[in-house]
Amino acid sequence: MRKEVLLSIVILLSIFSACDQSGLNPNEYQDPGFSGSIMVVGSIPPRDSVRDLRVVAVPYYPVDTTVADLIDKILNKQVIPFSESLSNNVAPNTTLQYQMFVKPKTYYYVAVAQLYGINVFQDWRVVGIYGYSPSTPAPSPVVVVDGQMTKNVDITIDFYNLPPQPFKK
Amino acid sequence: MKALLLNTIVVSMLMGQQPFTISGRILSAEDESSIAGASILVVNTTLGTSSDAEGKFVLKNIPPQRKQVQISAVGYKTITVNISDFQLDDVVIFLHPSPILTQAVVVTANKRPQSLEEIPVSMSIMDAQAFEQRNTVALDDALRYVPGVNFQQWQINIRASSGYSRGVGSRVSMLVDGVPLLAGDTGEISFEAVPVFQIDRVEVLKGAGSTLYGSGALGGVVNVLTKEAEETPTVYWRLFSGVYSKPAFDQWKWTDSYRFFDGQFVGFSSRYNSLGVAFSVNRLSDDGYRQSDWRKKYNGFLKLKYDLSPYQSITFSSNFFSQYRAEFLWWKNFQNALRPADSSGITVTSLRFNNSLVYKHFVSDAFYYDVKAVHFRSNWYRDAPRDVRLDQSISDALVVDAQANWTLDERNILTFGVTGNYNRVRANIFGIHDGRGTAFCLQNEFRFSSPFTAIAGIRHDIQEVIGSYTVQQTNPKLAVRYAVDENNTVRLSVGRGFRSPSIGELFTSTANTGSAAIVVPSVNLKPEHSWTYELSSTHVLSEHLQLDVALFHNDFYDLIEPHVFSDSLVKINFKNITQAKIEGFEVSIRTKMFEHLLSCDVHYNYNWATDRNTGTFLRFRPRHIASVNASMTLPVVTVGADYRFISRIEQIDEQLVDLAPIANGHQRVDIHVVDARIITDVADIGFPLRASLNVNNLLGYNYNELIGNVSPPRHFVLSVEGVVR
Repeated sequence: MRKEVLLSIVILLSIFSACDQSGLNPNEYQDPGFSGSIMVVGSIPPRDSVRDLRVVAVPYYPVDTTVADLIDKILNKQVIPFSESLSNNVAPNTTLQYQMFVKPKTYYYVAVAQLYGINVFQDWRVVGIYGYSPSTPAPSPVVVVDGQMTKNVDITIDFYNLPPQPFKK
Repeated sequence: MKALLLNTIVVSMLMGQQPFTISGRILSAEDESSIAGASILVVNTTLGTSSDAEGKFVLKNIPPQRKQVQISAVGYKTITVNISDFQLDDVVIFLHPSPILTQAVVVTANKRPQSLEEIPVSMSIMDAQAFEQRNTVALDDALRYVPGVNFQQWQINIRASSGYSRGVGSRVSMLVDGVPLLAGDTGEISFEAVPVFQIDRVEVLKGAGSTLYGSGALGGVVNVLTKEAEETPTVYWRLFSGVYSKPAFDQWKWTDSYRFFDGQFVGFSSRYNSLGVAFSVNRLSDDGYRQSDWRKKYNGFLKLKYDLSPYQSITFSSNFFSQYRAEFLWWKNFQNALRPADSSGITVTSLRFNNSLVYKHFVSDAFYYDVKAVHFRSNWYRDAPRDVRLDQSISDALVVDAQANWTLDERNILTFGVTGNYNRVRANIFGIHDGRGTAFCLQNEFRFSSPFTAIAGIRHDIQEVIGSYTVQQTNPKLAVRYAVDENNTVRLSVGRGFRSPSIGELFTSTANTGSAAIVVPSVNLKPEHSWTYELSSTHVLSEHLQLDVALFHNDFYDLIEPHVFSDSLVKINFKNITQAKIEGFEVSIRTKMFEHLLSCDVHYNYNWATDRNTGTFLRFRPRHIASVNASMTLPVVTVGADYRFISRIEQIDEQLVDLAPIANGHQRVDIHVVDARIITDVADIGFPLRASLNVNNLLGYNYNELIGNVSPPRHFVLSVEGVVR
């Protein structure tokens, strides 16, 4: 009988500890997204060639694509979210803070894109990729969970040492 | 374990060669309390009855050459009494309580009555008491406490076999009194159509069961057995009413009023010579705890059993179900979780009825057969306000099944049968289709020696949607059982299961219904199939403690899942896209303590369910399922509580969330639910009355079984019931 009583006590303690949970709680809910800093290394190009600067989050590896494809997915199909423009705040050797609210999913390619020309549908290039460095050239995925803000998605940009471009020539 | 006690028997008078009668009481050997609901069967005949609330029973017209009566009750050791050549009057039979359920007699495992401890596969049972104590109004509410079972809202999932299939197809087969009850159009289980108040017990077979039950029994079988008629005219009634707690958060409040639900049930049961009659009607009205989530349902049930002779019976059953409800698909968003995403006022009306006829004949001690015919009509339609009909489906499913059991000799029991089915579907979203099928099954139980038995079986199915689709499947099974000693049993089984795609999966087309998601037909689907391997054991550790362990491994092939593709528009069809492996283990501990006043069952189930194509965890499957069921019986009062835990669903259907779209559809948590009850039964002091208070989701825990759907908050149910004889 002693082991049955002991078993009962263990069960009750387990239940009480397991039940100390809040469950679904809209008060603790935060709009999902990610945030971090953008560190500018070195100098920046003239203002007229940094017409726009935005963080884009691509839920797949955009290998061998075209700028037009990406713009189409951004503007028409809305599968690639992008941040507010950062171009007004960019300066040499500075660090910018940013925050994006996005759908909860895994973004395999998070990058900073620069509009360097007047053609908004074509003149874009990638100046920084999350997780990329010359020694670790693969981008890192950003996992966004519903109700949470993923932090420390820090990206380094260097306008004069560009990372690999995914675009076709 | 103590040896069983059988303190019989008062013998009254010698029998001649005329049919005779046995009457008496079934009592607990431990405290001489009455055992209600015990099953008393004359071996190798159709004759049987069950004990009433005072444990009394009467068995009439027993042929003089019958020698044995089998008595069984859940929680007690099954015994077989030799009645020799004597008539027995006022016999008192004592059953010895057991901590275990293994003594119950079941019929699903091998399509013949046998003790649960004799079968070579895993099975769980729930008896009528479990339904009554929980004040269950829908079958799925009670099945949530079966080990290894969880639900995605209304869709059952046995050992992670099913996931969530968006309303078409079920990987679990559903039977009522052994006859299938799956909708002809979608192949879905209609849990709400089951006459809950007439349930005697439910048997849940885990793992592939297609060798006996054909298509759909990929992950398991649920067999609902309804009650037999009482010996004397008996009226049952039950009234209940309940109220939901107000929402836990201000954001979730959508009304200032309390939301109520109530139900009424009345039934009659009696035997008139050779005719047993049972019928009942019940009604349920539920305001719903969510906006646009109300429902009203009505259910009627009739069962007539006529004993043509002690060896032949014919049973007619009819069940009618009508439901009118609002449609709540998923929430508006997480901040408005109790408001529907679509508040356009769509309603769904369901009218379902099934009629079945069963003829059973014991030709000799060694041979009996039965023939079953069932017709199941399902008619449902979705309406927008102002009588705008959106969808409608009328389907008929006709099944005729003949099966025989032949005891060839002391070592071989042969079971064989043939089944035919015909489905007819008329629907705007499924089209107009007729289907038919035929199956043959053969199984032999080998009893090599006393501790060792084996079962080998095979079934061949041919299923056809006339004019467009034909499949053939052969499903073998092999199972062995070895009783190491009286207290330890080991079982090993291997079986194949399959599921033919439903007409819903093959032909659904929403191109012309104005639906946001365009579903296109998928006529090239192959049937799903699976292999189940299980090693399980039962160990009686002490008089108070039993341990059951099962290790299982399932391989699933060609699982049918929705597939999203895009040409000019986003479209959905069904494809065979997944190979899966589901393995895990299940542990159950059952105890009875303090002179059996307190019973406590603990169950744990671990599932490792992986998609072989992607290596990821399968969608809509939990990794951990656990439950604790405790009950204490005191004089006049019984108190009980159930706790269940289901770990957070790891993978969901991202496309469903994106395309529906379900705002904040990723919100989900571990599930912790405690249901408590207190029941007072004053029948023993002269009033034929029982009252109970159930508090479900006692802790007011907020959770969701299915994405975008908050489960019921804490709710209180007061119920009063009685029996008039």
